[in-house]
Amino acid sequence: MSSDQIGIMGVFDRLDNLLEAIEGLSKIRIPIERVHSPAPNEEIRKKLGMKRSAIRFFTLAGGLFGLVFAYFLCIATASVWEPDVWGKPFTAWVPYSVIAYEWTLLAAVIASFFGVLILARKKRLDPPPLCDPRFTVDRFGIVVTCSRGERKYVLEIFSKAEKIDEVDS
Amino acid sequence: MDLVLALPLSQLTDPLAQLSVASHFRFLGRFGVFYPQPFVLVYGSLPRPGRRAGSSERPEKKLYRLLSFGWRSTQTQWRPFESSYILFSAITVAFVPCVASIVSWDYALTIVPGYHSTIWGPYFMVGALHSGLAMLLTLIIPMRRIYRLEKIITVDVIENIAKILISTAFLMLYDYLVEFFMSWYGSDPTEMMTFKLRAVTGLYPPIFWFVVVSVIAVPFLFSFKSIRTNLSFLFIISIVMNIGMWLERFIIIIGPPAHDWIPYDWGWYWPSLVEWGILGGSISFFFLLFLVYSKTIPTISITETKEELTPPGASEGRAK
Repeated sequence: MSSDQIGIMGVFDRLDNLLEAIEGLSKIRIPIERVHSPAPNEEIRKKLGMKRSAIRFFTLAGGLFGLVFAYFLCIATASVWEPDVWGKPFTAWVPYSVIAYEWTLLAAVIASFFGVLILARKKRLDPPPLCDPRFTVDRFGIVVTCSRGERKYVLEIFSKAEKIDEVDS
Repeated sequence: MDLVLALPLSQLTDPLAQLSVASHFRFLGRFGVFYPQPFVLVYGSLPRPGRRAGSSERPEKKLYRLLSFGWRSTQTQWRPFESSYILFSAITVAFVPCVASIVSWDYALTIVPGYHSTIWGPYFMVGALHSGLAMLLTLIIPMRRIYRLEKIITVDVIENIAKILISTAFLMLYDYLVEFFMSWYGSDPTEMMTFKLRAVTGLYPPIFWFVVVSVIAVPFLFSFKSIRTNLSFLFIISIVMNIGMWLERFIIIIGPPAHDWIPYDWGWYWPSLVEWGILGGSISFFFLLFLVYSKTIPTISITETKEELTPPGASEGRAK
């Protein structure tokens, strides 16, 4: 952010007011930094034009990796120890599938977990400068970054906000 | 093979000794430590400590921030959380058969009479479901009163759990009958002796019949609406069922090795005072962890509860 830029946060107690503010901001093309809500909400996501989460690709990639890795692990272990199989096929696919099933699910879970951390951009534990603890309780919020010239338009859009906070860049 | 021959004969008939010498069984069992349930549990709780985190510098607030990975309930956090929550739920369901049956397969793969049966996997799984529901009743009936959760955990919810218990009692009955039937149908004298010692003669039949009554017969009392909606009855029955389920595991695990292939080893096992102490300690430790969890983290998913409500400022019936 350059020094001309400021951050403005509007705290709303009603969903309708928040949706109106999102619409107003998108009309004057002011980029929205974050939108907080105490629970997930479909209407907010529609207004923001958010697409489906890419988390499913993390799950799929993790699952496939687990599947391949499990068979590799079983075959590699059997190759190292060379068990006496008394004429039976050396690679016992059926029992290996049990391990593969577990590894598929395990790796899918771990990949999804880290996928969420990556996609949710959880880089920092401390709250950002503009954040209200009530967002996790019963309040909605929008944080925008705009120039000082755009400030008055943003404040107008945030007119129904319960509280407005500002910070310099 | 050399290792097997080097072991005393009595150890070969001991199921745990068999597990230790049979590398394939050991290999299977060790994967138990990799279960993702802890991840799912921690992950499902993410927004909960986040609600208590705030921006204060107090140590407990910092701890909550750490536990919630800095949760701030933004849309970029909610969206992957929601999607992955569904995925995690599906994966957890897929894991239930593994989690509930893996130990039973370890036992079933041995040659000990009474253990060596393919019914053990589903048997343990149904048992886990049955005792799990009974434990759920034991925990939530006092908890809803202590934490004043009567409006969230309604009597309808508890009544539905009681109805499921009737169906799981049927499944348990089926398992019991199949075990005895297969023993009789197989005509293996050793196997038949194991079941005779479980249900007819010796030290364990009184326990077995108590188990039959408490685990299978008692849940059928829930067929009466007046009983399944009476919380005091439900609480007492759930405790009786829990005791029954513990004793069931006791006789099916302890019974077979008490009279296995080596007559020299035959005897009757009963826990010593020290072993009862360990049991009491483990139960107490469970309740300690449970109380610490309920004290520090909301026991009801606030996110899911809020999703059911109409948001403030939105008209009734609108998308939530």
